[in-house]
Amino acid sequence: MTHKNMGHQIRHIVNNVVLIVLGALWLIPAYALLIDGLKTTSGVLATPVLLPAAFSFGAMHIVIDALSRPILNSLLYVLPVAVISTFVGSLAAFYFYKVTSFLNSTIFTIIAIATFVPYQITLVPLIKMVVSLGIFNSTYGLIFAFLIFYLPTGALLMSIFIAVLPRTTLESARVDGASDFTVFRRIVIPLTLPGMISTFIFILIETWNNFFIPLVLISSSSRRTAAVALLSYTGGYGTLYNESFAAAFIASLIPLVIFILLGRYFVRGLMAFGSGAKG
Amino acid sequence: MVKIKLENITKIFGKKGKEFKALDNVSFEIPGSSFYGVLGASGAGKTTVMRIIAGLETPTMGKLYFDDELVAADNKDLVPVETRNVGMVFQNWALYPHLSNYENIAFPLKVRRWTAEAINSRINELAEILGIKEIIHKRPGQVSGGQQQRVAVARALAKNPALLLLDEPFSNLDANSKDDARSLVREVQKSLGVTAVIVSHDPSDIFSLAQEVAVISLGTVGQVSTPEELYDRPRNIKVASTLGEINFVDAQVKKNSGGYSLVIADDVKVKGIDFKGLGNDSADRIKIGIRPEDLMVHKESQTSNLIMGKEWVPMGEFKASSANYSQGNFMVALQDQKATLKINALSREVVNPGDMVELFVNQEKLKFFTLDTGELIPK
Repeated sequence: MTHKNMGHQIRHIVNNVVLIVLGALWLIPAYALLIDGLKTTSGVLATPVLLPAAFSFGAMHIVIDALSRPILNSLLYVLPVAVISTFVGSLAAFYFYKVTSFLNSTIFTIIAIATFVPYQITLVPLIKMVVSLGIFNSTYGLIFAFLIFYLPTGALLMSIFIAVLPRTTLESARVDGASDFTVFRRIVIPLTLPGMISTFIFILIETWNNFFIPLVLISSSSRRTAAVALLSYTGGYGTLYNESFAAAFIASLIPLVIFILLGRYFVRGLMAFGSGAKG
Repeated sequence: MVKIKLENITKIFGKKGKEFKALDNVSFEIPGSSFYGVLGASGAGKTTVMRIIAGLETPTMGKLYFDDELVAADNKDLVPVETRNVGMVFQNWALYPHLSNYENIAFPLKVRRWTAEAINSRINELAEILGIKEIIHKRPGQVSGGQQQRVAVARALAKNPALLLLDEPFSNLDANSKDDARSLVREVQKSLGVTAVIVSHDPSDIFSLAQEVAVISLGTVGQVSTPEELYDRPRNIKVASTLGEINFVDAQVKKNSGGYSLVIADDVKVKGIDFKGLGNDSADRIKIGIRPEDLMVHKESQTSNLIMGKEWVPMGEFKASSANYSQGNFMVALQDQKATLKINALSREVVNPGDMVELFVNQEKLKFFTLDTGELIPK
């Protein structure tokens, strides 16, 4: 084996070792959630967190029953928020990319600033607004509130992805006779699909994990979201560790599944982009 | 096919205070069914001209007509880009990377709601003419540059445009595919009878395609005429240098019995020029434009048995300082013996740096310009 080959081999091995170590580190929380969620109440107290004990599906069963409604509630606002923010954000980003003017760059700066405002400080006006619109304690109220915070995020993220599009490709579509909306639908969406999927995933996970906004905007327990329902597993007088582990596992399952499913399209989209025009 | 008329078009980019005038009072007319060239160095404004014709930019001032219809005037687009029925080939071809070549060509037709059969037969027809049948179902990224260029031409022609715009379409091709692409484009234009405009910085693109040329420099039209006319009688120094490599040297005009002689340097003189225009000019100092191909380089040992026409007159002895090979010839940089004058000449034979050579010039091809304004002194 030549010296050069050897160096190559060593680098390859080091890369893999680093990846495996990092992957293992990142998997530890998920692993802990899974095995502790599958322990009995006495088992979880008697064994260390990272070691398995007698298998029991009891905690999982209880938690799935209790969380199925909150998970559905969450899905009902998370999906519309992520879809609308990504789509409207893309439209906005496309417009900002297409039309450059002083007014537009001002608006764009305001949008960028809006994404940095901590939502906690807007709490009082937000609740007042939602109440006066008559959508307090409803899925619509949640969608409305989250759109306020994540439409700018969608526009900002998408304008990063759209900026990569070659201007001449869009102009060429205009010359070919396509209207703005056709250009958006037939050229911009397919070419920025990886970006749209990442934006969608980002907003979905952020919204799913958001605890504070649903806590203040939802008052009845039947409409609780998954993030809020999770809190009920850490009580003030004692915690059922196997159930809270199981609940955390179940609640993080949905974003995880969506990520795994869409991750494939993400890669495929990137490849389509890479095989693009040479010029 | 459509006739284009630009009337006093001015285009200003940028905000107030930081304005940049890309075009200044540009007027010319493109006859229907002709192949028209717009020639200019980079930054001269030629791409802006094309984008205004296509409708991708709006003229700040001035009027643009398609036949007798006003399509854009004074900062307003009256006919938007998508309804101008223009086919355009961009410099980087701007193909849609996510669509196959077939779908690329079909795109303008689908937008126009052609039926699938009509689209299919149109694409087959174009693929036949342009020789892209084999690669029609591949993606643009999977085929060569020359093939991508043909796909771009096919896409531009698919909708039967009234006007075909070519923006530096050959600049990304290697020398061999360039020649093929040029002759293909010329044939297609001729057989379809479509009005075509080519924008390029490369005079060879223009000379091999265009019937009429507008030379643009620094946002203004320098000259409009046929390529031959432009080449032989450029209106001024700017136009002359846009049209290809040219040497400019200062010279003193002296009248003597056999006509005029030009003193370029103490040891560089051209004698026996029969040129009436010079006598009328009061200035005795002028600028001479000499194209490298109008010079002949001979190694000193061979000059005794040369056979040349009488238009070739000797310029004196020069020393070669460097030589580069370009398209079958050597471009030789020459210096006179005092090293005050530098001239580039084309040579068929190998000349090595340091060689002494005898230089001859075709006096009929000499171009004379006034020293102060750089205008051509007509013959």
